[in-house]
Amino acid sequence: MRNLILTLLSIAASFAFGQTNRLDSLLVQAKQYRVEDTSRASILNELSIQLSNSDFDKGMAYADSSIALCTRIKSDVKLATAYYAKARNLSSDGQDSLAIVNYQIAYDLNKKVGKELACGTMLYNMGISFYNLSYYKKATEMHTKALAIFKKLKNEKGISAALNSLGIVAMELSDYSHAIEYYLESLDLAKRNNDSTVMANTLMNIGIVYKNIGDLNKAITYMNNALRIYQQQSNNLYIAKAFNNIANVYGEMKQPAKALEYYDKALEINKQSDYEYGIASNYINMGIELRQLNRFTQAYQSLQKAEALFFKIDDKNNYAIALKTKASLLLAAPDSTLLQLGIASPQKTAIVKSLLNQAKDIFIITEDYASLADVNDDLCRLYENSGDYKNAFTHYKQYVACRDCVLIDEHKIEIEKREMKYDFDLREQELKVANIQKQAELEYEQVNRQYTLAGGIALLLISGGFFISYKRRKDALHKRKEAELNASRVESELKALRLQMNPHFMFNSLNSITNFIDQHKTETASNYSVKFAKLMRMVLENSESPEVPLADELQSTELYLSLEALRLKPKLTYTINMESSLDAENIMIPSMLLQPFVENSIIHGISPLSDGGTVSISIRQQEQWLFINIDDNGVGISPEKPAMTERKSMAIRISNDRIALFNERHQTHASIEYEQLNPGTRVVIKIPLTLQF
Amino acid sequence: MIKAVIIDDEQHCIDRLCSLLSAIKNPDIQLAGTAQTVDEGLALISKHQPQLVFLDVQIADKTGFDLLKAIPDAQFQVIFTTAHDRYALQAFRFCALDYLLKPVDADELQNALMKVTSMKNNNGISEQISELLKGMSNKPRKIGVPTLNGIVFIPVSEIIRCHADGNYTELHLAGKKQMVVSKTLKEFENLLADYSFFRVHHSDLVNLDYVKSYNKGKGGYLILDDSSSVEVSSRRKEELLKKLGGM
Repeated sequence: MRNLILTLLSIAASFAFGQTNRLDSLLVQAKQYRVEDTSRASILNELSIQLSNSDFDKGMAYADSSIALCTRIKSDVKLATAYYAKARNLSSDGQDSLAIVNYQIAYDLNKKVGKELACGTMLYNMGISFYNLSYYKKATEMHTKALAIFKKLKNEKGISAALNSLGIVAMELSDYSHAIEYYLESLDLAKRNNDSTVMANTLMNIGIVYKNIGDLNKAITYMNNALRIYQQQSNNLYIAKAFNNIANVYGEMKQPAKALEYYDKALEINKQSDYEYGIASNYINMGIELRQLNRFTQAYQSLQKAEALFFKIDDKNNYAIALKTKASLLLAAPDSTLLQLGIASPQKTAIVKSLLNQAKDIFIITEDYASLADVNDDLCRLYENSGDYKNAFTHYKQYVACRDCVLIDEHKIEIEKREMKYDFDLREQELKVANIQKQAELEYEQVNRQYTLAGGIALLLISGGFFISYKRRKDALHKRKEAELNASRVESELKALRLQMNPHFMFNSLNSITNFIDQHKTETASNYSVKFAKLMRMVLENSESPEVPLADELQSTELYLSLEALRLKPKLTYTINMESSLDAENIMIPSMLLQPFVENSIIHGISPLSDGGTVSISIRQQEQWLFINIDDNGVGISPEKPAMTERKSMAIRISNDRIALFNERHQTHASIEYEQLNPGTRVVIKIPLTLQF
Repeated sequence: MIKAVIIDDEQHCIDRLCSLLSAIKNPDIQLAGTAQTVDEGLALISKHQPQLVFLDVQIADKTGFDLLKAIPDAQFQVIFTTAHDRYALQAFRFCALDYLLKPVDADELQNALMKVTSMKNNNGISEQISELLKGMSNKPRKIGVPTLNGIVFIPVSEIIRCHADGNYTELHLAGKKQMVVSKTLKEFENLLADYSFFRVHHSDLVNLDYVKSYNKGKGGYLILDDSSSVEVSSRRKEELLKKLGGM
């Protein structure tokens, strides 16, 4: 999926400035024009921006001297651009957290001087930096704000850039329906404006969406359409990329011959433009496809070329991947191939080991944990086969450690995806508290990720296609893992929420107990506290499991009601009714589901009444649903008091979130609704009828 | 009349139990003394030879188990008292030993005392205690079940399956033995949660070590080593297969 970045960054670049290569003339100007004014600032800024993709140190130096200059001459307009230039450099270097800080300064300055379009651009770029950091929610937020500004200013380029970026973020979150929506809107706009570049890019992105949702034929159609436009424009870089993407899809379709045909085309163009990264990644992909066709010798030669090229251009990580791919090819190759390659079969293991170990040393430096895990896995198996269990075990341990790193990373992204889906800021806050430790680990991981990206961005620009082929195998392996991980993530978040119920419940209970002691004799108070201890135990025990038998939930609810009745005597009465056909031992419901609503009815419904009232709980089944009504004949919702918002306790908010997660976990539509009674309030909890046996 | 002592490191716990005991008429409890450390407790027991000991789990830096270890052939009944110690509670239940949760509830104290009186001639107490102590260091291998003749210890590995019969449970044991215990299936399910037992159905808890084969169907059914067949609820099928697959 990484090749998305290509489109994203390329649009961003062409949108923000013309790609004119005026670096040389700028350098001359900078030398000649030394007057301390805004013109010099402009030159410095543009220089810095031009250098941002190629020379970080110089780019930063120019940005910093421009910042100093603009501060001296007090030009906020140019100062904003200077900070923007600095941010661009930082972002290109993978330092996106710092980039965001500088974009923010630039944004504030632009806002101050009233440059709206620039504000939009800053927000848009911040979005890209957030995207690079995998903060997808923030990225979407920024792009959406930028989009609003661009729309207001009717800036077509901005609109289409923002739409495409929103699509890319949505795609990263596997939210394909939104991604398509954004792309179609962008496509529409591009058609109206006859902007063929944007049209082609968008078509390509739509193709990628279809590839990701497995509609490969559609993917090819869209990519071919994009390809035709690129061809009309004779845009060689993009033509090669399109060939590459189409080849990837054919690879996915298990049509290696067809894939090879397209890689060949891409290779030809890349060779013409002497594009070494592109050539190298074509070769490595061709190696993988040739192997599929059992053309081992050719595959090996192709990988050799890739290896040599990556070494030449000093792309360490891809060099190591080439070594690793070569190693697994050798392992799979028949003896006859090995002979052709001049490798005697007894040497095979030693050669493979040495290739893997070389790759391993590099991956450690580049911190590519996914590849490192693979290499350790391979090494572990090699040692195991040769009976060297000690070494096998060592590599197994390393494999597990690396895999955990990767999983934690993916876990983080998963969490981000979820936060996107359920935009409950409050809950987010609470989860953060509950998961402080988890966050700490993730932040550690975040740091590593930044470095990987820092080295990765430039390479991914061209070799994204290759990355996909390489990832394909791994994806298949991890798909089931991911599903399990996803389930356990929802589980752990549900648990965090359940556990948050406990403190609320306890402190509310202590409050009741104090209240009771204030009013009663010590003996009754002591009985009361013993019963409360019992309830507390029950609640703690129930909150251990995600779901409990309805019987258990009713038992604790009744104990709770009886205590409250004792405390509020004689104001509170209660009834619990259940359809006799229901088997409460066998029906499962989320634990601690009723209590917050019952508590709410008592505190806000009944206790303000001088004559007291009744809480009635009734449970019935209707088709495949279980309905739990919690009625009170208390104060209720009155027009002058928007009760539902005021009456919502923390515990009820948590309950709503739990239901949302429950729905995600079980793919269902459980709900909590409020009705006005005369007098009083009814809460209707609707959950799918789930039986234990 | 039952002669009793209380061993607990916290004075207020002793006080509460004393005051509750003084209000109980039947059985007649004569409180011989109280102690706040394990050593004091041992001295107290050897001096008074009580029939009943209320024993706290955490006693300063030692435990009630340390005290029991020092008395290999105990002749008294024990009622443990503890606030919240899940591990210990599971161990007590496993050996069918009595316990009270703090703060102690008057009704529960009464129930426990009635049980103690009815088990007055329980010769199995030293076995219960020795199984408890074994279970503290290792996963217990035997489970204590109450029968008309007192507590009987059965090796967990000999239980093939448990079948619910209202508030009773039938245990089907290796060697074609069978017994009926007045505990619910749910209690057994909780007790045996850490072993290879799986609730395949509303009314059956099966030791997966004894599964001979699984026959497909909506839920399907299991054939066990004693050639009995047990239906599998369709809702439990998936998890069962996962468990069987993982073994």
